Amino acid sequence: MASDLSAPVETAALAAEVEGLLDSAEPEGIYRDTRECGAGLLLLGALLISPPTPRPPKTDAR
Amino acid sequence: MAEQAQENSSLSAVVADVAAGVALALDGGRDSSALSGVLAQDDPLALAAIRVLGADVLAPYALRAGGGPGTTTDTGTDMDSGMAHRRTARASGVGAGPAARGARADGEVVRKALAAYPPGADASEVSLWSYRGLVEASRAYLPAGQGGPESPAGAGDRAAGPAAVAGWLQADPWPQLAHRASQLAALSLPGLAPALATGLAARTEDLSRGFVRAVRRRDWLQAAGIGRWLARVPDVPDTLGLDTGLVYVLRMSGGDARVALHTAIARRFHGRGAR
Amino acid sequence: MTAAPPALLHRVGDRALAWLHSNREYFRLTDDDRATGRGLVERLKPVGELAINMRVLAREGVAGSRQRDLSRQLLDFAWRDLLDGGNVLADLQAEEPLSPVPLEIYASLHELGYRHPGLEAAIDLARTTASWRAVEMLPNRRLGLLNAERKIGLVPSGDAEQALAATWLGRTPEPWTVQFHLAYDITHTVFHLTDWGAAPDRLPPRIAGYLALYLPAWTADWAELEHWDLLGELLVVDACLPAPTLDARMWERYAAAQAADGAMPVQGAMPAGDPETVFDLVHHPTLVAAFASAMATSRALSSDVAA
Repeated sequence: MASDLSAPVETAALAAEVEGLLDSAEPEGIYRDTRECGAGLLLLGALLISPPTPRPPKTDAR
Repeated sequence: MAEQAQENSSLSAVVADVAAGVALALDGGRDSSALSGVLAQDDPLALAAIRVLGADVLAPYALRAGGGPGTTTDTGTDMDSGMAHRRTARASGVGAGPAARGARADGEVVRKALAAYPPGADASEVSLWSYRGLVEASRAYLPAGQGGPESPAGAGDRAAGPAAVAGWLQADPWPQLAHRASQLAALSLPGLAPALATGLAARTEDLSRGFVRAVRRRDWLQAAGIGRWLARVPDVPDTLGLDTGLVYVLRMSGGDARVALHTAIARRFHGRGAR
Repeated sequence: MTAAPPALLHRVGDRALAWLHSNREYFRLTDDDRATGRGLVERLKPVGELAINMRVLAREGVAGSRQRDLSRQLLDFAWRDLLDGGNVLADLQAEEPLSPVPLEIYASLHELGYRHPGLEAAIDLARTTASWRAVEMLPNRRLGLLNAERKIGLVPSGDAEQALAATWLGRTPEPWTVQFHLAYDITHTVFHLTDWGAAPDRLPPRIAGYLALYLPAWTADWAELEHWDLLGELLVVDACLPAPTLDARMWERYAAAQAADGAMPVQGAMPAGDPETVFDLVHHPTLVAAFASAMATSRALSSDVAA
């Protein structure tokens, strides 16, 4: 694997990586739910205080 | 998403390999611990991986030792480790023969990992805890003479006493507490950190919330780590569905070896998870 | 966990109500809506939600005098201008005799003293059929229907306990399986069970305990996702618990998401567009904000906030 010459450098870099893995920050959780929000709203229809459904466009002028 | 944080470095890959080996040994797939048998002793990556996984690399020895010492002072584990002990009574007795040689060699690898990656001056508290956990595990689980490396420079003794525990263990809001607990999951092995275990056992509801949040976030590694602490305590809420949850987390992680190790330990030591 | 100060809780609702009042014209049904009946139910939904809100405000008694005036004006506007004194609901019931929608909307207005005898007769007629009890609907909506019947003084057409047992929340399943739609099922079960927060003690202890345990996890998650509509509903649920937390950190984030004019975006930032489009997008989360604020303010002023 590592040659004698490169070992200290590599070990120092690895030590930092070890630290990073041990005290890792929480991963972002932003990808969940994007799909679940969009689907199935029609089922809920006109239930009061349920998530808004797109209202039909208004056709007459005011 | 957990993969993002770890990136796909070669260290992460070796950590996964070692975790997989340990899990296999736990499930009886190998006679001895996975360390010396499969790792090149002087490979800096292998040693770094051992340091990352901490006490968990010696989990198979803890299982054979019947849950390790100190379990009487270790809240919530008495019954569980007793169970593990009965189950593995056959495998105990690491006194001589190939098993003893394996233990000796593994102790040596751990000693090298500790020496190569001591916590630096600016090391995180998690790093200190984890280091100390590995020191403690080799003293506790390896047969006398094979373990117990003196901690080089005594670095691991810093900030690891019960006094240091008190602060965040009581004061952290539940999301931070649960995240930190999962980072320290290896210390949930029997007898390693009684004060930590007692402190976390007092916050079972908060850890349950953390488990829910971690699964929602699809942070499988965090969920599995929290699940291990919850697996120890007898009063984990039934409504949490911990057994189903551990199986769910394992499957959903898509074969993450560290997740698999956490769930294997919850199963082998505490009988939680797959029934 | 620190509870939010009542002033913060109150301000959210005060601003939401001001926005609802100044945008009230957009609640209006068009002649075309009424003539064709197309999308009528969708257009009536916000009117029903407005009525529920005004009912909650009147009941909790936390509105200042300016708020009371606005809410009174909005109510009269809803009954007279939007619902034509209840005729719109009666027409809908005649059109579709088994529809629960007119009753759901009428129930809060009835409690506030508005009456339409023709509509009540039509509802009574529908209730004589076995079909009324047999109509298939989401279990939590069934719970809402039973509550609406009770609100207008009728004997509920089914057993509330059975209806609860059929809901997701009634079975208290694994809390980590909750996703977007399940979360709304949970909030609605609580709304109907407690009669929109009027009777928190109707939550069985088993369910109140389950919610106290896991609600913080869901709340934290949807706050992080900045889904203000759902966060608002979860904050209502908190305010319906025996010992609400009124978590200051959550309420601060929620309040910070509100636009200067009082509108609450659905998720993330306020949408752009002409006022009518924006109204269609944000009226619901803004109504929820008024609801959450009224409930939370009321509980903050009583002394049962969790330590």
